[in-house]
Amino acid sequence: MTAQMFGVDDRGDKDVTLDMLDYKYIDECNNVKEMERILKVLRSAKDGYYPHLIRHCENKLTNLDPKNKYLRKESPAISSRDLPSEDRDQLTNGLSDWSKEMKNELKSEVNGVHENNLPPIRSSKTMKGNRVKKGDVGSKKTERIRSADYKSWDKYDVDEECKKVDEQNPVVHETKTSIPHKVSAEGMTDEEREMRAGREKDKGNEAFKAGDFEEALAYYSRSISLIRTAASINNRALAYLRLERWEDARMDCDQVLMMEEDNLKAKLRRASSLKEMKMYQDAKLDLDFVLEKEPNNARAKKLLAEVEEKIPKRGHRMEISEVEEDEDEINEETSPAREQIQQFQEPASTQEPTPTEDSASIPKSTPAQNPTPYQDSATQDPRSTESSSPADPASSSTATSSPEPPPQKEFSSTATNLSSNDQTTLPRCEPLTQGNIEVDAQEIEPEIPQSPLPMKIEAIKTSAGEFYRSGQYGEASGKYTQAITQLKMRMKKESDCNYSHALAVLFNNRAACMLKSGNDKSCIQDCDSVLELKPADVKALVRRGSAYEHMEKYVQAYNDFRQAQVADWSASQAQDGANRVAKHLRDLHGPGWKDKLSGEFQKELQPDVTREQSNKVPASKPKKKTEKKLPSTTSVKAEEMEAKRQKIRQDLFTKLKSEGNEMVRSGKYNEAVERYTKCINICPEEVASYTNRALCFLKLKKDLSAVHDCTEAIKLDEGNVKAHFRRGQARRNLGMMTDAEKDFVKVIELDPKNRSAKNDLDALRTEIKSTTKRKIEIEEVSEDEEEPEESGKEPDAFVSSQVKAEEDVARDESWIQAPRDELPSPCEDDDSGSSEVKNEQLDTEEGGKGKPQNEESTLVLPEVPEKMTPYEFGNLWNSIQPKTHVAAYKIILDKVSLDQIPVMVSNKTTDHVIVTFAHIAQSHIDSSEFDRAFLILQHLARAQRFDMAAMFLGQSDKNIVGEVFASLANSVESKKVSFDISDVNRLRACYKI
Amino acid sequence: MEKPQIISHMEKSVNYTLYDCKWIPRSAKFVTIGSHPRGTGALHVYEISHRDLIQLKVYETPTSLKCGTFAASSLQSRHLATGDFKGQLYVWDLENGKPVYQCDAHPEIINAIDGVGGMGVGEGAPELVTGSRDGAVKVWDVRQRDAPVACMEPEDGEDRRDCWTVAFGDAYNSEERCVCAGYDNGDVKMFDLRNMSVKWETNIKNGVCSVEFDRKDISMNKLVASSLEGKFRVFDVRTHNSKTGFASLEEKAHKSTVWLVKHLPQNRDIFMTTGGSGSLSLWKYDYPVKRVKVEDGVKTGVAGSLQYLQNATLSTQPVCGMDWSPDKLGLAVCVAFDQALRVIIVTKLNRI
Repeated sequence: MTAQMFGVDDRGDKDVTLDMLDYKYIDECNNVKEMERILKVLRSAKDGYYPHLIRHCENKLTNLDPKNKYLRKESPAISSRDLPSEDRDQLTNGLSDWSKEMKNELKSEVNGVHENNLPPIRSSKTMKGNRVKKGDVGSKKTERIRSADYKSWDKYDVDEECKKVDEQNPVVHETKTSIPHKVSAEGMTDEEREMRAGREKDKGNEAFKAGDFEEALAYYSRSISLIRTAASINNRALAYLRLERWEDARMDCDQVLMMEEDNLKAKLRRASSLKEMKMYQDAKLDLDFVLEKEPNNARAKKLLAEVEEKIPKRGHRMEISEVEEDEDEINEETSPAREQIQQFQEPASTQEPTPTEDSASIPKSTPAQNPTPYQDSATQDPRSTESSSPADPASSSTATSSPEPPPQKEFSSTATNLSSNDQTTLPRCEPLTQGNIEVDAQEIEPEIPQSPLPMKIEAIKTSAGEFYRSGQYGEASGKYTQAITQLKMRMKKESDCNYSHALAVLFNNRAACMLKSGNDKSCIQDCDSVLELKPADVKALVRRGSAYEHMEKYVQAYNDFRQAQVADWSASQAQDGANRVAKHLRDLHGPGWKDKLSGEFQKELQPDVTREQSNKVPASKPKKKTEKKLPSTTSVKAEEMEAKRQKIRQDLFTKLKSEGNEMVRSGKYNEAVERYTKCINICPEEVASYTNRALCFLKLKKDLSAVHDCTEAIKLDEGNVKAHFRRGQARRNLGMMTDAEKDFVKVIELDPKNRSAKNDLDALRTEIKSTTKRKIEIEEVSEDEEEPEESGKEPDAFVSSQVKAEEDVARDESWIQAPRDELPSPCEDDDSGSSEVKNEQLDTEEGGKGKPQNEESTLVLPEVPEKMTPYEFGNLWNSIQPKTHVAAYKIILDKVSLDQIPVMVSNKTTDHVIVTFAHIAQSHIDSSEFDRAFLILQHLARAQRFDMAAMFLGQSDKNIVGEVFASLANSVESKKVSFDISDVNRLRACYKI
Repeated sequence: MEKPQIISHMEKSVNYTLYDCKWIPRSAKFVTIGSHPRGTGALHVYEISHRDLIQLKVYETPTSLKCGTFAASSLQSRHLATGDFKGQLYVWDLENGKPVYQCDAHPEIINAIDGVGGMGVGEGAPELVTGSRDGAVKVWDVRQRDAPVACMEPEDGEDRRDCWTVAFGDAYNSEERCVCAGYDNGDVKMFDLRNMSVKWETNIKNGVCSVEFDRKDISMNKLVASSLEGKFRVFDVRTHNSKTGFASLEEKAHKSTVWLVKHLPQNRDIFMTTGGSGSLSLWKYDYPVKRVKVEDGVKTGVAGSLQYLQNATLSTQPVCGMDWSPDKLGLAVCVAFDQALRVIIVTKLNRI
């Protein structure tokens, strides 16, 4: 007794006695502070080290307060070597792409001259004594005038004193600040301006998130003053809406819509502002447009309902509360990753009358709401909702009609989060998109009539839910057991009713209780039962996975997490779990664990997972797995389920893929990459996702990632032409010329008719040659010491200009201008002439040496009467002034043999080139050389990037080209020519006329 | 919510003591700042290549270097300003390793340096601020040689506390600007450079190792000050109450000294703290529903809450330098006293 007392004193934790360090006491204790103290004592090991008791105590504390700081554990940093290989590759490739991008940017930036109008130097001041001057505020003790001091009162000027008071007061609270709405962009390079604009927009977004709309407005305006992008104007419109400056908001939306006609968000925002300005008819037009494009857009629907209500009887105003959704919209613009989630989240709020996170606040009497604490597990399953509310046709009909949005607002996945949600003010829970899958499933499945839960069981379930929420898991699981047995009894009695889904929900909930109270075996059993009833239930899979993980049966756990992931790519718990378990397995079995534990995993990763595997029951050692089917599962049933699941996945896959394709078409490559990544996650065997993603990476100039994807695709499908072709392109961009060449050769091997590959190969070979040539030239020149600088620059300029030209059609102008500065005009320039001569000599030399891989191009080149490389052709072409001087262009073109045209033009096809060619063709027609005119146009159509350039032809340009075709068509009728009208029409189609 | 992961991507050991590291803006390069055993300064430039680090430049300076910043140089020049053990302020051209500016700023070691006005961060003139063991905080304009443009030092006779950290903030237009300094006795002082006055001061009990504003170029919003005893304090510096000062929130981050606080340049509400036991902690500040409450016509700020996002232990020694890449979200470099530099990647920051 005394010893114990002393012990207590020694510890200094006056409340913790030895009898508290007990399982039973810990189980019954619900006081967070006390638990913290117990945990502290246990961890200090003053009274002995009890690892299991510590873990028990931690578990208990997790239940009570999941974010408690005593639960924070220090973990070693993950090394990138520990990551799964695909993640690691993604990481390193992303980083390398970025560093390459940075290098390129650096080059273009160097020349920028920065002449900033800097403010003057601050006048030097020294401040001695850095204490807040306490006297500052109150020290001005104006002498109080005594009441009897009449002389002083005579002098007292009331107005003056009032003014003084006025002057003093604002000084105290002049915190509202004037942020200049404009940024002077003088002397900034484009990159700098872009960077600044991005930063200002970020600041705007942050201010918006913090609820400071005035400030957000200022920063968006600053961003817009630097670069006008639709995104920032759109965000500013939202800030205006928040500040209730409707007219400004509308003007901004108008501007966005001028830039992007179909911007639904802008339409929606304009509709909101129009509504507030009482222009209901116009608002309705906008809303109709939105709903036409996105029939499930909940906000639009809601607004439309309000607007329509207003149209007959005007003057009545209603407030809309849309804070949460819009907050996300901001996010969405900054991170496209949110887009998907947003889509799902938005419609959710309509169906819920009170879109609060707190499940407890949902009225229990509402039949549509399942009043269990498991809003997550219950609501994720529309069928269970249906079963409890057959009388609610609205929700069930939307559920069946719309495959895209989930019919219920999703809550954050874990039950533990649920309790914490009550505290969070701005809930940022990432909704699981399971609803998506579930809805699909519903469409596929034959409709099994589900009966509503009997009142009695419903009541038990509710009370169980309450127990769960208050952390009494034992009680809760008892209640659930009661509910389950009663429901089973009922099912036996009333064979016409089908309670299977309700039963699944009950089992699932009980599993959660078991998991919480550490009863892993029962949890697994319950999850098995759930999966028997509902094979693709992600919750159950995740729970079973966690249970296995607790039991350190990592192989099974990994299987479950992977399955959950396959069924629902967005289940973050599943992903985290899988990564965690994978790490353990790697620790146990080394880096080759996947191969060691092969078979199962390989099958798991494939889309056709067999049902049998998910029924595997834990074996004592992870390496040896015993298969044991659950007694009630017949294999026939299992197959059916499997077929269904696969169908769901397929549907999801095709949906994502088509979305991705759509994104590519509209040029949103970043979003497309996300879609394809998800596709790959769902079905890693599909080659098309890799090649498509590679295309996006190519467009985004992330060449390393593109190469990686193509390599993956080639691994899967040796003979994939696209993959080889794209890898070739990516490698060429990376400067890996020989590898690129190999790829192109392979493409031609696989598909001998592939023209673009041939062209690319030719261009590549000439490029290789020209660069090697150039290098030699530099050496020679430096020997002679004849303007070494200029010739040294040339190849550099060439490379960078080419990179730029490839980057964007819009930027082509910069390419046109750059070399022109060096070569003023073709005939005057002696230097270029001499270098040409040199080139010729070098060429023959090189030809003599006979590089085998260059053979093809050297064979073709000598046919050109006067030798010209594409580079020189480009230089000549660009040096022509004025740009409409067709005759000069014609002279250049005459020196090029017709089939060399695509090579010469290489990838620098622009609208200007097309139009000029059309002019030249016209002049040939005028001099009755119809064949040549036709052939020029025909060959130009084979040039790289021609399709892109043709697409961007302006109307006037199109007219010019159209005229040429018209005269060509005429010539077919009148004169004898080697082509016929169908040829002309085909070519006309090529030119998109 | 998916948890961000802290991944140690690359690691490299060096043969000198590392004190600081900084990303060179608009590039995949960074510079490490440190001291050779023989008392000379080390200035090394590294570049991230495909899978490894390439050492691009190695310079040795006359005295050991303590700290550095790019924040006051333009995007074109990218000159590094450093403070060293003898109190000298240098501005280096990293292309050739030659100083473009030099002055004897303090009689003793410069513990901390910060800049504003360059790199498109903040309005107004580019200025540097240095904090030294001599207790003075001095503001420098590289256009003016030899003399500081502003100097805040204790009165003669007052005891001189070691200034450990300085930070610029509130530079939302060309006039306003303030400097925050932390001292070894736990004092945190905020100087208003326009009025040349102490705007606010407080004491957080233990020596202040690091102070940082969440963003320099906005009307000041949040300030984080970290202390010797493993704790840090977040101040909401938007709303000042003349009686109670700024609303704040304290949190224990590490078991030992919190050496640094670094806000993510792409999101001001996320920051990393580095600990004396080689650990990193990632935090997110959540705003309260209402940031300001009005009582009797006086505005008072309301502190929000902190979310503990992730932690990772990199080393056994204190992580004394860390810098987020301004150009790539989630990329950072940090240096520790175990003479190793590490490139880390924090994933999923855009989903928070």
